[in-house]
Amino acid sequence: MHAGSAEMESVRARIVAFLPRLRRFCTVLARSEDRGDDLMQATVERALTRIDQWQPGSSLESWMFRIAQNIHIDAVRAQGRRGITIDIDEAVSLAGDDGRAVVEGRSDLNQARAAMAALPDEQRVLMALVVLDGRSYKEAAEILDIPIGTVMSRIARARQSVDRALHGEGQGNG
Amino acid sequence: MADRYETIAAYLDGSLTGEDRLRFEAEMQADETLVAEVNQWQANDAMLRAAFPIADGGVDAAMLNRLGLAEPKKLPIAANDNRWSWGRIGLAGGAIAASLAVAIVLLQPTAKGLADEQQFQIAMESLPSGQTINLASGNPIGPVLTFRARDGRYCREFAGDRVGGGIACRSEGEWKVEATSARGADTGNSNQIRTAAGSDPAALNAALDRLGASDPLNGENEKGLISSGWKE
Repeated sequence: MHAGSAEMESVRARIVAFLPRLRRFCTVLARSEDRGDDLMQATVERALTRIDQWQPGSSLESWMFRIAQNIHIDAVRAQGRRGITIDIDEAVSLAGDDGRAVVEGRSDLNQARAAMAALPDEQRVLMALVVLDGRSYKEAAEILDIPIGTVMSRIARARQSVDRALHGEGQGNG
Repeated sequence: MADRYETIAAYLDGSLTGEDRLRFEAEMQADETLVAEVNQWQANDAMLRAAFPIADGGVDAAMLNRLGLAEPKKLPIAANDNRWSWGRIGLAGGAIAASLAVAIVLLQPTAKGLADEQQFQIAMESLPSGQTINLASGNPIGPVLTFRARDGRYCREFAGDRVGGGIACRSEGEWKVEATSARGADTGNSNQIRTAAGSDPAALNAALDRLGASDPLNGENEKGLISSGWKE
């Protein structure tokens, strides 16, 4: 895109409108709000510097989801080489720690966060896109550049794991 | 061939269509265990969505600065019991002061007009009621409430400082202006944004009747629709 200032302003406004969804996506991917915000910042920076690679008419949001996913994968690989592991207990405490009294149901939500954090990257990203963000299998397949059949099987495996985490082995889908 | 779990997941995700969906629903009628599984997975999904909510009020100013992005302005909203006027009141003061004469600016398909159209689409699609973004002219515009029309479409009343308000409904991924609050400026199904310095709530009330408007959706429902791209 050869962005004039009006077009660029329009793109910026669109990014701002999209930020809450991008932030949630990044939080889930990075398994923590802080790392999620770092990921969101890196994603927005890359999107703004490479805006000429976005095809106007195609989904800006899908393009930015893809950027976030790529940056995340690169970071995970780099961490793997350095031997840094991600602490699931830390992930469990993310979101909503604002000093308010613990309310009923909070532990359920923590369980849900832990269940999500325990999923492998390739399943967690799909849960973020499909279950949280409401993207179709086709859109998710395009964003991640994988076949729809792979989306289907990963989503099903992810939901089985979440179900076991929330309800135990013996119940439900045994 | 999809296995049992893939089929349940696809059903919940709206990816099971046509005959496959009918067959699965028939299967559920004959299989209580399957129904229990579907319900449990659906409850799990709801739990996950509650655990990872979209932040209230979007992203704060400090973060926007960090990202090098401008802060969206908030529309002033007056308290009012009337179900249709609470949002409109907020901008009426500016609109009335601006001019008694009705000046309708029909945006031409220039680069500026196209940018405005795009801004308008973004505002309707992604902003919670009460937030605005700027048109190319610098005037803010944004949704003030959301409702459902009799024909099932989602519609939003929009308004802005120094520009008129109106109603737009979503069909096939696009927000089309159904009515504007400028006197005599009902645009029917025109997809162009009209802005006006005057305001006539009667025009909007007539359109609300014509559309068979539901009560306004609450913030939670609206947020859910925005985050799901206006899917149920």
